[in-house]
Parts: sequence; structure tokens; C-alpha cells
Amino acid sequence: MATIKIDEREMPNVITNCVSDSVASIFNTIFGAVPEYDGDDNSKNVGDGVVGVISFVGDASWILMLALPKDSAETLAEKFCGFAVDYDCPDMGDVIGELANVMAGDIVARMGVEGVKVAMSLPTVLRGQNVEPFMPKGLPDKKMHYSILGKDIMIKMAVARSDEMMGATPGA
Amino acid sequence: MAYDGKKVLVVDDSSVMRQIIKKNLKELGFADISDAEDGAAGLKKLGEGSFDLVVSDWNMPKMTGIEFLKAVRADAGMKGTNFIMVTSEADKAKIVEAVEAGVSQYIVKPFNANQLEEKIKAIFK
Repeated sequence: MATIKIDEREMPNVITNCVSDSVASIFNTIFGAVPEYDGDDNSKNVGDGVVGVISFVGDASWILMLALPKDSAETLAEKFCGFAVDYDCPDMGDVIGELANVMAGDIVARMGVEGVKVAMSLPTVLRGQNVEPFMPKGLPDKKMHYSILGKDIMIKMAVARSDEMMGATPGA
Repeated sequence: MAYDGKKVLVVDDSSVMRQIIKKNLKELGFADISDAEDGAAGLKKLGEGSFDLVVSDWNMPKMTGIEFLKAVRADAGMKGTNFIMVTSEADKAKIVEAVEAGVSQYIVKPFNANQLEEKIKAIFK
């Protein structure tokens, strides 16, 4: 088991590196283009969009969010499925959940190679304006913005609990 | 290779993934394709009639793909069914677990129609 040091100012490098490598690899495989990195502005949001959330537990407990603005979701969903998917249709949730799921599977494998064992949850998909989960205070998070096929994508990672919180009684 | 006489069951909790896999299978020549939304529903369908091939996701609610595979291999009437696991679980330990449980072929997502065809050809060669 690997020990992940949690610095409250920064996401652990092993997570950030595995996520950015996975974004490049998975999106290139699915969409035939390498996403362009557009920076890590933590104040930038997606507006009206769809968000796929996956939790990881194990040597590191953290969450991954894949957020797509409405027009990105519509364009990428059609490319992914080979048929158009309406933004308001439940199938849109399936597509974004599936994209997050495929990325997460790849991240688990990449982290395993780095000696960090984690298991992933099933995806939860949300839709709305600037949707983001509330995370515990004092733990690091990071946004990474990309564009692919001229459409924006946002990835957010957040540590869900520190080593000190492992096994603590809720509310204590 | 003609697959029009082969019966296939696609099991995935994502309706979109079921549609994508069914579309790929139709393009490969399969005509008789059923689907189910999780392992429990898949097991019920397998019990109602014999299938030549199951294409199943791993991560599903109620009954996961690996639990479904183990249940199929433990049933005297179903244990010979060809079983392809299509999953995002790229971790080596997961692949080993599926092989030990008796999976026929394993595809890591994202995949394309050619990769699915290769796995199917390997089964029906």
C-alpha cells in the first residue's frame, strides 16, 4: 500500500498526473483528437452543463468530476454514440456517466502502476448550472480545463478525506 | 463470417451502451439480439432461453458483471455460454479475476467495432 501525503494546498501529483494522462489517452481514443489544455483556473465554471462524478477509495480517497457545458455535451455525445442524443434526454446522463466511467477505469489502472491501489464507484450524473459538490474544508482540489473538437471540457479533482480523517467518527 | 443464426444477449446498465453494442453487433451480421439492464435481469433472460453469446458490462448495480459471469458458469444449463466482458476495468487484477471466473474474451473500454469483431471471431472461429 502506498502512502499518499495530503498537502492542503495541492492535489497529490500522482492523481493529477494520472488524470491528465488519462484525459489525453481516453479522449484521443474515443474522439480521435488530443484535448488541448486550457489551464487550471479554479474560478472558471461550465455554466449550464452535465457533470459525471466518480468516487475513488483506497490508498487515496478522492473524487473526479467530468463537466461538459451543454453544447459540448451535445456534440461529444453524438460523436461517442454515432447518433444524436438530446440534452434533456436521460440517455445524455448515460453518455456522460459512461465517459466518466471509462476515464475512471483507466485512472485506476494508471494509479495501480504507480503503486496506488484504489477502487472506483459507479458514476453519478448531475445536470444544472455550475454544478459542483461541496467538499470538506482544508483539503485540496484542482480544476483542469481542456478543449476538444472546439468544445470545452472541465475536469475537477478533489481529495475527499485526509489520512487523519480515516476511521474518524462522522461529526466528531 | 455469418452470425445471423446466433443469439446474443447484451447486458449493460447504460441504455446508450446497450444501443452502441447492439448497433455494432447488427453491423457484424447478428440479427437476434436481446438486452438486459443488469446481471440479475441477464440471468433471468438466460434462464428463459439459450444464447450463443453474452456481451456484458462489469460495473452494474444489483448484480455486477463478474457476479453474473460466476452465476452463469455455476449453472449446469448455462455454463457453456460464450461470455465477453466489456468494461472500463483496465486494472490487471480485474482481468485476472475475470479470466479465473471463466470469461471467454475481455474488452477494455473505450473500444471500437473492429476490436469487438476480433473478440467475436476468436470465439466462433
